[in-house]
Amino acid sequence: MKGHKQVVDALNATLTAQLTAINQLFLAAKVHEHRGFLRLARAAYKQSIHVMRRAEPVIARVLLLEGLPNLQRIAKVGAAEGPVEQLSLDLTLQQELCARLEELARTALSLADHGTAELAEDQLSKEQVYLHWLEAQQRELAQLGHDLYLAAQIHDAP
Amino acid sequence: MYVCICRVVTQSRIRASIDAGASSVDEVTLECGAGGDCGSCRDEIQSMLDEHCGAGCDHCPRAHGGASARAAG
Ligand code: FES
Repeated sequence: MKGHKQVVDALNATLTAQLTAINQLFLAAKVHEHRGFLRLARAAYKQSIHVMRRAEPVIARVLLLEGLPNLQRIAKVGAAEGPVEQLSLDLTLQQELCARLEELARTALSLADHGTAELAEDQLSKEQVYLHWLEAQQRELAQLGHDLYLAAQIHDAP
Repeated sequence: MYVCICRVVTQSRIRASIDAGASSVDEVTLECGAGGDCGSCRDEIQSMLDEHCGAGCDHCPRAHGGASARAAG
């Protein structure tokens, strides 16, 4: 089934944002873990694996539309010097991923590719969960201050 | 943050290079190593140079002319 080039391009742009997120959050998780911020480590690790799983149907969709999934391109990985700065880099990353999914849904809808649009909207609702979690961390940070906030990140209560 | 992950160079270290007179990405690479490997940080180094040179380039002691000269040339 030959897909529109714009849809394949938008799928590949989504894939780039996903691959960037997988790597950035995996790195962030390991650095948080190394520094003892186990709660932050767990959240980043889980999200990294979730995004990897969600990249699968995106890759499958590109193939279905007779395109070549681009696993070569990856955007700049945001690596912070400290945990608080990492959270804001992760927020920017997640906003970018959500923006790519919104764009994908719009492009697919405008070209009547309803299968792709549905995939994009489904994934968007999942990515928004992590986006909201990151936004909540910014609010907690503002309320508690850095030291108290970070003290609360040492123990991980699953 | 680490702008260059390959060479482990932070944003503040690159800013120091620029403050010390580096006026192109290649000069930053020579001075502190940033951008000398995979190259994916080079755009960001360029934006840092543009930011530095965008404002008040008339007063800048360096001869490169900054962002406006690059745009014109
Ligand atoms: S990130 Fe700077 S050269 Fe690779």
